Amino acid sequence: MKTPTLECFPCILVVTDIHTNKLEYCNQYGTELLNLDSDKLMTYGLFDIISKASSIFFESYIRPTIVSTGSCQEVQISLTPNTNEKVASVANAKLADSKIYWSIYVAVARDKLYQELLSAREHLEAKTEELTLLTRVDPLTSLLNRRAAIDDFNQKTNELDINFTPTSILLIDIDWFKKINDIYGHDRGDEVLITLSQTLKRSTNASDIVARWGGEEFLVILNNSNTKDTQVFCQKLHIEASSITLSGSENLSISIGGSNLEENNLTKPDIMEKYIKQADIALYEAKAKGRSRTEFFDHLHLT
Amino acid sequence: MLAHGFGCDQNMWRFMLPSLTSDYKVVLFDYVGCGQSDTSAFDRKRYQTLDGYAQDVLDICGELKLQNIVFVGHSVSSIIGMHAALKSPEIFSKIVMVSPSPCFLNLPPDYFGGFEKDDLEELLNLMDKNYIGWANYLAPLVMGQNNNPELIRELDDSFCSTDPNYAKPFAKATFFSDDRAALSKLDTPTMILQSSDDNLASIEIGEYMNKQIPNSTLEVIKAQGHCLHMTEPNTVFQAIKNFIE
Repeated sequence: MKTPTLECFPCILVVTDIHTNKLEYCNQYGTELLNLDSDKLMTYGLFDIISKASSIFFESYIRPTIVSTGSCQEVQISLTPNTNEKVASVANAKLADSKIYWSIYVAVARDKLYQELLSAREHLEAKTEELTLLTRVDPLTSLLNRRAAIDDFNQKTNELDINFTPTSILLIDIDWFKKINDIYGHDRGDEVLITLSQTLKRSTNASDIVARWGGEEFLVILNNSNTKDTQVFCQKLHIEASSITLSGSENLSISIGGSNLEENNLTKPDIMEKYIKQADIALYEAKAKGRSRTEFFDHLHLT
Repeated sequence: MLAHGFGCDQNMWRFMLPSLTSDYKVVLFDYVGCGQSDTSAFDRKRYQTLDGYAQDVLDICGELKLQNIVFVGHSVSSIIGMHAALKSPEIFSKIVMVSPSPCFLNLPPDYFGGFEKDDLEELLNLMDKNYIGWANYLAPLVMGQNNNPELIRELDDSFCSTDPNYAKPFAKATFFSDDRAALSKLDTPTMILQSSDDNLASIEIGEYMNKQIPNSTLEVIKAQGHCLHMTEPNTVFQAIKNFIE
C-alpha cells in the first residue's frame, strides 16, 4: 500500500506575502490548475492568479479584514488560469508571520447557484417594488390611498421634528357630490374625481402629499407652506375646481378645511389624528357657512 | 476629519488614530449604509452618486459646526471630499487624499484608470456573491421598506461590517464615476499620497491628479497596496503632520 501524499488534496494551497503579494508557495494541484510554471513559482504574484475584479475586492475588503482580524473566511474570488478564463472559487485566508495562507476551492457549481439566487432576488425586488406601489395607490385617481398618506405623514412628522418648516394639512371635499352621481350618473362622478385629482396633482409640488382620503374627500399636505402661502393655494384651487364643468352652466365647487402643524409634539403617536380632526372641524365649518370656501381651524372661534 | 473608503468603515483608521488624537480634534464617521451608521437614513436616490456621500460630510460639518477642517479621505473618500470642498469651500482648509483615483475606468487614448468595464461589472457581481452569506441579505424583502434598527444591529459587528444592501450602491457610485473634470476646479490646498505599488490607483493616476489639481503636492510612499493608512500608518501620519503644520 502506498503512503498518502499531501499533493493529492483537491484544494489549492497558496502562500503570499502580505506586503509584496508575491507567491511564496503553491501546491502541485494549484500549479497545475493555474497553469503556473513550477520552476518559476517565485516570479508570480497574487494578482497573476486572480481576476482584476478580485484584486479590487482583495484590496478593499479581504486585505483590510486580514490585517485587522488575522483571517478572512469563505470569500468568493475568480481565479485566472489563462488570460481569458475565470474560474469561480472560494477562499479561506489566514495571516501568520506576514504571510497569507490561502486554501482555495473551485466553486463553479456554487457560483451558478448563487447566480440563480441573485436573479431570484432581483426578481423579488422588482416584484416587491411593484406590489408596494400598488398597495399605496388609489386605483381610480392614481393618487396615494389613505394608508400611504398616513405612512408618508408619519415619516414627514419625524423629519419635521428634526428640521421644522411650516406645513399645512387640507381636507378637500367635493360639494354636492351625491347629487352629481344621482343627476349625471356614477361614471360622470368618477370622471369628476379623476379630473379634480389631476388638478390637485398639477397644483402641488412633488414633496407635498396628495391623497384620496375616502369617497369624494381628498387630503393635501403642503410642504414648506406658511399660512399665507396656504391661503393663496386654496384660493387658486377654488378657481381651478370651478373650471371643471358639470353641465352647461353648472360648475364644480369644493370646500376646504385647513390646519397648520405646530412645532411641538410632532412625534406623538396620535399626531395625525389630531390635525386631521382639526381640518375636519374646519371643513365642517366651511360646509356650514355655505360651501365653496375654505376655513382654517386656527381662525375658528370655537366655544 | 477622517473619511473611510469603500468596503469598510471608520475602523480603517484605527492604526493611525492614536498618533492623531493627542494633538488634534479628530472626527470619525461612517457614511450612511456603512459600519454602524443609521441605515434608516439610506436613500437610494441620494446615494446613487458620490454627491450624496459628499452631503454626508457636509451634514456632519454643519451639525458639529466645523470650520477650517483638514479632511483626510482614503480612496474614494478623497473624491467625496473634493466634491464637498467644491460645494462648501469655506469649511475646508486642507485636503489629504490617500490612494485616490478620479476614475477607475480605462478611457483610451488619454486616460487609464486601470480597469475595463467588464472588470468593474464582475466586481459588482463578486460583491453580490460574497454578500449572500450575510444574515440580512434578503431582509429588506422580508421587512418591507422600513428598516428595523434591531435587526440591523444583529449585523456582524466585526471589522468592516458593511451591509450588502448599501455596499452595492456605494460600489457603483465609486467605481463607475468619472470625476476628472472636477479636479481642476479644486482650490483647497491638497496633498496626494500614493502608494508606489497599488493596483487600484497607480502612481500615474497620482501624477495625473497632481497635474490637474491647481494647488496640490504629490508624495509617493514606498509601499504595497491600497490601504496606506493601515499598512504604513506612521509614514502617513508624518506626511499629514508635515503638510498641515
